[in-house]
Amino acid sequence: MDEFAKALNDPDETERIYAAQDIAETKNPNMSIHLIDRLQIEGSQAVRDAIVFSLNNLSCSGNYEKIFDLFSSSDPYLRNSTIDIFGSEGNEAIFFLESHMDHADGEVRKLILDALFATGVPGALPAIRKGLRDPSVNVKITAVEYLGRLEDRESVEIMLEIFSNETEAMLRTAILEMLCQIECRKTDAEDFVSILAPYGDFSLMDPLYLPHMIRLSSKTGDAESLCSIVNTIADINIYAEDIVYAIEQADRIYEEFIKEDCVLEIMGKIMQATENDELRLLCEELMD
Amino acid sequence: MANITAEEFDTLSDFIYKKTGIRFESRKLYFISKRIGKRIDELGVETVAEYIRMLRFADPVNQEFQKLTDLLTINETYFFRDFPQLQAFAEHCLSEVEKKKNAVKDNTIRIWSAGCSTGEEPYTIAIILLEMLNYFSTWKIEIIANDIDLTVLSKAKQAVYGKRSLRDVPQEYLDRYFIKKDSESYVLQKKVKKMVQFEHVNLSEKKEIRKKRGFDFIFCRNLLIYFDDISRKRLVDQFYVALNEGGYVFLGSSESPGRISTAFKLKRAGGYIVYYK
Ligand SMILES: C[S@@+](CC[C@H](N)C(=O)[O-])C[C@H]1O[C@@H](n2cnc3c(N)ncnc32)[C@H](O)[C@@H]1O
Repeated sequence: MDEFAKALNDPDETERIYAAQDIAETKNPNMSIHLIDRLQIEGSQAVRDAIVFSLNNLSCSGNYEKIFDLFSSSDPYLRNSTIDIFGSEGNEAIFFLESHMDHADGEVRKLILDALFATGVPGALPAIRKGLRDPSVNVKITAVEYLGRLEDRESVEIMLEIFSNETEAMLRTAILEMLCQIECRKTDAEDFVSILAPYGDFSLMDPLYLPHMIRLSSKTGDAESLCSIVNTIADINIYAEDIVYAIEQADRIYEEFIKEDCVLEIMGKIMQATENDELRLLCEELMD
Repeated sequence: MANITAEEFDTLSDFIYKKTGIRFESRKLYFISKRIGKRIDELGVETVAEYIRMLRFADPVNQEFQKLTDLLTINETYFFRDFPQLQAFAEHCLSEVEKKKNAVKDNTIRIWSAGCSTGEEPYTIAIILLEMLNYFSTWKIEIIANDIDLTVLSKAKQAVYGKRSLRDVPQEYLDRYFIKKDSESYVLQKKVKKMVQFEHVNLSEKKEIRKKRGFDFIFCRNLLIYFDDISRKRLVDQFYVALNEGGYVFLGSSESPGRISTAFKLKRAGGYIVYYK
């Protein structure tokens, strides 16, 4: 074993690459410490690459603290590799990562979320949800995006709460995007509508959120909201594609959606206004 | 049969890319979606998403993944396959290496064709060298070609080719480097044949590949898909070790060296991205 550790520090680059490969083959978790030590000082990208691959194939559970320090490295390659290394640990690493979510540096907290997501195990979900309570907007956005990709219905309620309390547009858009990705109910969409258009006054809706709200109301089969949203739009051409594609999506799920008077009316308006032949054709097909 | 949408195909293609560095483009969707659909049906899986979940979490020894990649690969080879890549090699990389070698009075060029099958690839390279190098007879050229399959190697040594193999050979090269045998086939001329040395090698064997050193160019096209993660990485790392400083590695058009190893540098050669040491 010492032989491998020695070879890993050989002056010859090739010997170091081979040592990293051979260590991975041993499947011996005790060897990972040598790889981590070398990784921190290694100058050759080829060797670093071989070491990281090796660490991804070895269990590193005894050395999480040391690996974690690489999150604070100024080298983006090392930071990204650390995500993969933790990711390859799967369930093993969840508890450790979660226990560091109070780290002082927001960048590191974001990397922890990346690593949690990279583990690809269901056990990471509760930890990622905690990211929604993070003081940093960036970390919150990251958590929202990952929860969307994991189609996490359970976090809809917290999302609604954040959406009503926060004003940061990027975060709010990320939440709406997330809702568009997951299995969303009509009542969920209505809750968001009531925040953006209080007292049912759709003219209060910030145009920034229109594309998402068009998608969301269609996705949940809420023709009434869709029509109210569209009616606030002065130039329908700007959103014509968003609207038609959203209606097409809804049509696949809800048979009656397309037959609603106000939906037909919208389609008619778009067919008249648009110069996009493909879009007009799609409208015709939908109305057939 | 399970119908695969373009979106589902992209998800599957992303999954394969992350795992292997090999990209199946959606323009090939038409050809392979039927095959994938059939496989999904055989397994009794409902959706493509479920199939991917199964590949990810319920396929510990990559048995299903191997089946899938078998479906996606077309085991064939032909002269001048992937013309744009060969053009980058011929017009940019080769002349650059030639100049460098001239400057230091080194007259050797060593090339490795890994997974050469019936020989079309290494022979194509030989033809390109004959065409492109100045003062050809002053060069000491070695083209080492290896494969695990003895049958294909014996065919490679015979060097008799039919129309399918020759479909992309420009007429003037056909006239210059081949002799018509009969209405169906051509024999490669001796001067090309003798430029290539064939070897029987299993490229997933560590001992074997570690012997390989000192190449100016390595071609390993459409082979890595047959390898598991560890052997694939080991072979590509070995390409790095085996290349001379400034040497080039060429993988298949859908395979990305950058995804498999960050050791190589990359640059544009004409309109083409090439990887080098
Ligand atoms: C599709 S052919 C590629 C031929 C050529 N390189 C091309 O791109 O046209 C793949 C070849 O890889 C060979 N092969 C597969 N596994 C191998 C291994 N472990 N060692 C050596 N060759 C292998 C197969 O026998 C086959 O001839």
